[in-house]
Amino acid sequence: MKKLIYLFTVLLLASCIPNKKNSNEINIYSQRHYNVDEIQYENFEKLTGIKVNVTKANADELIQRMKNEGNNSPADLFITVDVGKLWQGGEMGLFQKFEDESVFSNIDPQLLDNNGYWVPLTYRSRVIVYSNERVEKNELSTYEDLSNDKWKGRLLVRSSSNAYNQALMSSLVENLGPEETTKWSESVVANFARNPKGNDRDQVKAIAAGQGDIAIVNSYYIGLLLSSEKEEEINAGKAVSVFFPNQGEGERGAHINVSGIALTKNAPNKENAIKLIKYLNTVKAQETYVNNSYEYSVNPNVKPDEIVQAWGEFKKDPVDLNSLGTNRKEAIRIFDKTGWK
Amino acid sequence: MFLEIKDLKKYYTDKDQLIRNLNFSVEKGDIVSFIGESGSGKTTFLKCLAGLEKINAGIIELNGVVLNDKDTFIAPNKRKIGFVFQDYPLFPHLNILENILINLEQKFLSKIDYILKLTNLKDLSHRYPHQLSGGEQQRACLARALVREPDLLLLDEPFSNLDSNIKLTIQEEIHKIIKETKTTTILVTHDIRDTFNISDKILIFKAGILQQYDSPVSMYCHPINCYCAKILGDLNQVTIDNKTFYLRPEKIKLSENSKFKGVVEKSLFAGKEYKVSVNVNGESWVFFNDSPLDKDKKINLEFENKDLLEFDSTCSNFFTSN
Amino acid sequence: MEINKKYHSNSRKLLLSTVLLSLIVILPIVALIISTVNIDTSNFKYLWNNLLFDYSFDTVYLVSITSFFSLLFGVLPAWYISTNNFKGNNIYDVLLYLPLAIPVYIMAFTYSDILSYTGPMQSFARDYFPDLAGFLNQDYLQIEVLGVIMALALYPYIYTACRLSFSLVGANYIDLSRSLGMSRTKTFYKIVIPLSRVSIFSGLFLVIMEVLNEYGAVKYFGVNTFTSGIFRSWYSMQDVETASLLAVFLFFIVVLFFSLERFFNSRYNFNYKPNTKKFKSEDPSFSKKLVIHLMCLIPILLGFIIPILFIIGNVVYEFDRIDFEKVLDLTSNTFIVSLIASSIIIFIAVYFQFLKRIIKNKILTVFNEAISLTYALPGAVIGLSLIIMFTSFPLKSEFLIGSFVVLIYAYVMRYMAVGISPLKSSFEKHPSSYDDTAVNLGMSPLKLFKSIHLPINKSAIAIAFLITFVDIIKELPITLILRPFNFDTLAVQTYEYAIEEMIPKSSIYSLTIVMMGIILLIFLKKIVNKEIDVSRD
Repeated sequence: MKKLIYLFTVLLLASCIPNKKNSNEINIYSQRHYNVDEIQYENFEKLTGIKVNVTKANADELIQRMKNEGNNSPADLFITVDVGKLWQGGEMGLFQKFEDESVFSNIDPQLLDNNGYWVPLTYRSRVIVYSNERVEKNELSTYEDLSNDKWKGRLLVRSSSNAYNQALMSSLVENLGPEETTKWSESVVANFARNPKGNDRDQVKAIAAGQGDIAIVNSYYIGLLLSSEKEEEINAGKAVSVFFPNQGEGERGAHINVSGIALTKNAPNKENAIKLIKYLNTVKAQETYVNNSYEYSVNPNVKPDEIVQAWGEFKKDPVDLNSLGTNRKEAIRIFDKTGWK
Repeated sequence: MFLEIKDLKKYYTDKDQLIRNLNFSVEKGDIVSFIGESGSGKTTFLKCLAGLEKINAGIIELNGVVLNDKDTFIAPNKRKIGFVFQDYPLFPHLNILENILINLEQKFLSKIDYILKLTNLKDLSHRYPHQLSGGEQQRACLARALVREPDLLLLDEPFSNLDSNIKLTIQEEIHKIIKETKTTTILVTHDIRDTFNISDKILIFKAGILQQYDSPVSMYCHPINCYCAKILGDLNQVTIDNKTFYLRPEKIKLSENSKFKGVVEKSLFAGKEYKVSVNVNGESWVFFNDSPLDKDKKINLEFENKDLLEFDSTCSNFFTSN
Repeated sequence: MEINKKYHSNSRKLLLSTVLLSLIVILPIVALIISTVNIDTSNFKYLWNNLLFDYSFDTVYLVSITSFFSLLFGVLPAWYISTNNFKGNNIYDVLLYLPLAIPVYIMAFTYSDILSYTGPMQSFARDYFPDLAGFLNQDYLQIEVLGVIMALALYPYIYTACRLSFSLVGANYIDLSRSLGMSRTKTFYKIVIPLSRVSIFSGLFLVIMEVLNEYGAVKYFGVNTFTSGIFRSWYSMQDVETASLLAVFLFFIVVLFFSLERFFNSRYNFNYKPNTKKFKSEDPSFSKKLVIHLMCLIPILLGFIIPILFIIGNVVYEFDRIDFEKVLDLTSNTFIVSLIASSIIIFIAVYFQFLKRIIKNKILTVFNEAISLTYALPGAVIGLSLIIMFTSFPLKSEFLIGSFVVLIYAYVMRYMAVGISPLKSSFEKHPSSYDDTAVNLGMSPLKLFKSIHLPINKSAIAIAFLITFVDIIKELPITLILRPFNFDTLAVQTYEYAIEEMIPKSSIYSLTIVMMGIILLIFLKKIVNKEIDVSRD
């Protein structure tokens, strides 16, 4: 009986030891879990023989994790769909700067990190979609216009706890200043067709159902809806059109956000990790991204998927992407203050 | 003496002394009934004997071995004491035989047959506790205790849970079983009537002290104080020449002529006789008669002087008129 | 002349061991509370001004709706099944309790899909009943709808509590009240319900705890409960302080509920007469049968059959693309980690209950109650408290975070009460004279445990183990926060696909959880039924 307890304790203590790393692999903490990512990693493995291990979770959880693990963190790379988190990781000292500048080659310079901590992989825009039946394209113009009370009871958007909205709000703070943005948010909240709920695709489905007329969503979701296997989802996608805000003369352009990758401070498999980053930005890998996830490539020479091309080209807001991180706290405070749940 | 209790004290708080200074001893093979009201501490006393509770002062000595004093405490599982609890706790997942056998030392195995026969459980030994009646469960607990040849057997309220019509039979059975095995026994109860015919000695316990410790007959005929007297049976308060005496109802008889004259108050049917209340000079006396007597009938009563009991003056408060 | 208490040096050691164990279980909460003591009051003001009212309102509202419907779905069917003899009785009995196999968040995601504009219900209506389609086109992501959905997943807690209680209330009381001229309905309301108050409240308590713990469903439906607030402050806002404040606040509310439950238990705990005869009424009339079937079928259909069919449908649809190796991998992960955690919980629970019998000490009772408190804490709070504990002095050991130890630690904290509850009732059923007799017969404590307590409580041990196990395989928030590198469970995978709007892909994982749950729950029911019969004899 005693022996059993002893054995059990030993086993328990042994499980204390975090997994030891093997020689030829990389460990990724990633927020992304689309099919396309698995395809990318598989292809990379086939090409290089390096095994890719992925832990998937919410970016915030992963950041907490890396912070707690400190120098002993087994993670080599951190991937997220919100540049604000990348900035944050840099701020918290979780990443190391890239010495090898070639990781930045073939990338649109507007999308690069001034601080040199992260590399973008894809980007997307947070656009306005509108009901084909009930809204004319010329009624739309800018994000700021969404505060106009002509939209009262017609606007649909997801919760403020979502990073995409927080990033958008951050860009507004950067461009308009906190006071203006607060006023804007108040009016926007007054225009909500319903309390924020569901995800981006739900907003589109709600437009199709007639519960609202316009919505703020990420561009790629429309692509996903239109290419869905479910007829109902395709119909929902067809019920709306995509509008890029702030495209007029002198306007700054539509808000974008990137999916990006960073190298952790004490990456145990640094060389392998950099190999992966470089691979993901090859033309082949970039094409895999755009054709599967309906995002835009960071390589200016790689064209987006046909469905996405149909929406036309657009001016991107040139604001420093890191500002989507620096203004995050303020953005969240504005959300809370103005009651955007 | 086989069991010696000296100056035993037991209390939980200083103010509330459960047992204050108990002193008595028991001869080997005797059955002693320990009588006390509910909550008087009698079960606690048994637990102290068994080692399930610790005493605060005093000495417990059994068969020459000190079980508990200020330097010694023998663990309850090392004492040779059998205990049958009030709820006849048989382990529900074992049958009767297994219950009796549990934790039994090798040397006692040969006694199983004898004990089963003695307690009349031979045919029931493969049944489970819930299939047995109350009386059978009790016998099983008894068997389990006795097979280990304990120096002392403790029974906690053995008759309280039984129907009155079978009580007598059970009492006789238990008496027979215990005497056969010559086991020194202390049984604890609140009703003295259960114990008259089976006890060698009776100990009356109240207010934390021993009131009287005697054979049943002596107890009955010569109670030491009014509490003991009242416990043992009805008592009449009789005033003669301004002195208060006490008299048992069965010692009073109808008489042709005597100096004690009274008027009948009522006659109550009591089965084999009638219980008659009589007003004698303002006092209410009770006695037994074969036939009922009419109310307001004038009668004479007599008794023998030697049957008069006398206690100290505080006793008069103890008795109220019937 | 005082006696030296030499004998009980052993019991001193045992007492110490239980105190230590209890402390280990509740220490993280203490760490959490301590960490909030130094918090800037501006944080608290921010909380008070902006968030507290909303969180409180939503939480209370959701709890109320879920409680109401849980009672509706749970109490009446339990009564009918317990007191009527009709064909299908036993099948209903099992089916009514199987929704426990479906985690709340799965129920929520499933229904949100079923009811959505592009989901089967509205699509079907649009094709065949276009007028109805207009009516059905509502926004179903409302707090009220969530309340009903959660009730469908949680009513079995009340159902099982009532089933047990109604069977035990027994023929004696019912016959008695009938002889006093009370109709069946009156008997139900005036006798059976009050006598069952304790059980109903215990079941309701579990329902409420689950609502407070829920994260995935609540987030998706846009309901702002305390738990979602904690996650939001902690993760989205990186505001650990506010999150901790919310957590502590929630903790105290839950302690309040907990005390209420204990209060009810002590005041209204009735001892049923043991020799009650089996109660089966006359066969019910036809109209009565109709009512019964209706009342039972509604929760079964909505809470079990429809969700399962939907999930199975998705699995069939996705069949070719299922990565079975991964499913197997995750299943074994889930299984192993639940097994270890459940074993530890049962071990500790049994240990405590046993010690309570052989050592009579108030400290023991207090600590016994204390370790059940951690059940009240949502998984999010437990995860947070463990991280705080292991990252602050004096227990600073960050390397532990991300190891199995901490994950299992968290499971043990969260589900200790679930394991304790059936064990407690079973142990307490047996009189203390068993222990006294055993000691008197010369048994050592170990022998007493092995020969007596283990066998007579083995059903309860099995029940406790199974319930705990099923709960852990469903667990989500703790696993999300604390799981080791490269280690996923079925629950985590389900959630990840669902929130990424890939519900069909999540279905195979949901299905596996549900299947595991169903098998275990059926097994559990067999054991429980045996218990009910035995105690009725």
